[in-house]
Amino acid sequence: MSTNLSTDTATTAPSQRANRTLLRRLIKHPQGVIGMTILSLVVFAALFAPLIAPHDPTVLNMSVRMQPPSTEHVFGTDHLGRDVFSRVVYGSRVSILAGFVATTIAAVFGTMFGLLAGYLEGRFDHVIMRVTDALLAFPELVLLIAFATIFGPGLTMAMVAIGIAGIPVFTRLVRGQVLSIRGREYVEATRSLGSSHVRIASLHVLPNVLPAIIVWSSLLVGGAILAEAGLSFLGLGVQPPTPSWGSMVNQGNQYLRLAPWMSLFPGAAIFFTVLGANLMGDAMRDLGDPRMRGRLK
Amino acid sequence: MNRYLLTRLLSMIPVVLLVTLFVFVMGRLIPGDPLLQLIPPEEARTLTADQLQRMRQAYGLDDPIAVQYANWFVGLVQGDLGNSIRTQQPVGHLIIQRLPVTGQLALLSMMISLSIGIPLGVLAALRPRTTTDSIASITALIGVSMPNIFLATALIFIFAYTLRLMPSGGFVPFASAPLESLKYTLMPALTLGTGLMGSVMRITRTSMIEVLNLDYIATARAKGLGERRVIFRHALKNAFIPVLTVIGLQIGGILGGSFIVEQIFAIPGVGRLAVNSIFARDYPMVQGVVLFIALVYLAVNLIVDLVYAALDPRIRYS
Repeated sequence: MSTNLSTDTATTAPSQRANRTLLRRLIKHPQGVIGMTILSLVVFAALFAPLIAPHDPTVLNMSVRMQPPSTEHVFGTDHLGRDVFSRVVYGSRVSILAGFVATTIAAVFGTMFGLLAGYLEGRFDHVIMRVTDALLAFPELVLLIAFATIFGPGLTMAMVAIGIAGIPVFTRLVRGQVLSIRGREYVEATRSLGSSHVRIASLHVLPNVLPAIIVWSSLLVGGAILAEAGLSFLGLGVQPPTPSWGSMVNQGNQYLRLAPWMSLFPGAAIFFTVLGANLMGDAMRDLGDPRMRGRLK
Repeated sequence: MNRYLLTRLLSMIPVVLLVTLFVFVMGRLIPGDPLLQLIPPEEARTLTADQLQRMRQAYGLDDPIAVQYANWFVGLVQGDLGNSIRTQQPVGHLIIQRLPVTGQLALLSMMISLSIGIPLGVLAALRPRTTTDSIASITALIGVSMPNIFLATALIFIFAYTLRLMPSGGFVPFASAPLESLKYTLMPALTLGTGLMGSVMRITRTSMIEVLNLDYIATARAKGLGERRVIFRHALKNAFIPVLTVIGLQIGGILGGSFIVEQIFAIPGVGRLAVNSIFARDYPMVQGVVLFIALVYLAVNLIVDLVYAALDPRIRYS
């Protein structure tokens, strides 16, 4: 047992150190800092929406409908007299929630399937990989539309569907990593010491795949936010009166000639949030790639 | 090459079978009686329980699920995707009718994205860590981060409503009036191609930088070959292989993106047909489009793999 503990410490400590180093380096990466700042602002807006938003995002006021931006309504008002800025602030909640929940679903289940397929190999691996190939045969939005048809519209459906659509990518990536790790000497050594498969997979293989999972997750967040906006735009995501950026662009497009601010501001909010997520994802990928480290110093 | 083609085709069989199984299961998971997915609701309301049961038997809906799938699959192989509930026309016929529209849009968006993305990537790779590289990289980042819905809205607002240079929506087939058709498809194609442009630029840059540092390029230069010949004849051909992979994968983005872009620009393509069918609860139509797009995507990736093998003999023999 003591031997097992010592090998656990020896193999998990470097990966924890790697995660900490990754974060420290991210703070020094200019793109990473810009990305983190943009995302932090959006997360801040989502958390403190009631304090930031000057008006109730759902209250109708027909006397001020389709007003252009002014000091009272900085982003103007919509066709029902609702404050567009307040709706953009509240809409950040949906985007951030969808981005992170969907990514978590994809990462957790993708890692689980990838770990099992890569570690167990054989028939199980074959079945998992063929199902993964079949799911990857559907373009993401087409798969999401298929899920929306089955389960009906709504935020929960959108988050789960986006998460499921991301599982095959994670499964494939984690499986590849596990296949390269499972044959290494320290894993063989742990196996020869009598550790169980569950123990080896969870304590020795998983921690070494974790830095890569973090990098892939950060790259997926932007895509998940875009996917949610796309579904809400089509009317298959968040339902009214809850403000979401995608549905705001859709409603605004009907009044684009008269009140362009209705769709351009929420559209710009999606763009900057995805830009922030992509900047951070790119920085994480650069920092996780040993070939890039020398160039970044 | 023939052996490689055969291996790739055989490896696709289980994937295609699973894709058809997924689409079949999708139809069965939709809440409600599967019979109501086959006949119009107004017709169903006029039928008695006994008549409904007889129809269920006639459609084979009381057979075991495996038999139902086998029957559905046999129909599929014969090109029968069922009938649309809304129009009662064959689903396959309706898809084929709209295919040239989506095809034209996808082709133009690919032409735009490749003609900008590849040269920009090569330019950035030739001048790494310069202002040119930074501008190209920022353009690519903006491209991959740009939501279709925002870009389409901004383009319509600027070019259709403010400058009045382009129509805000609609479609004219290329064959009937080429110039007019381009006018209608330019903004949607640009919207659809921006993401691909960004991805292609990024991968071209990375791949070219790697290739330009290889020994054979130094040998080509040492032989006294002109820089243009070294870049376009020797470097770009090898750097193009990863670019091709990204193009194959990103075609999925273009096919999926057409659902949104066709909706915004009121283009009567396959994507718009699918979205309208969802709201009309025309499930056979949605099922048909989902299956059709998945099969097109698989076929495109098979072609990409074959071009890949033609470009790099190592792939054929590995």
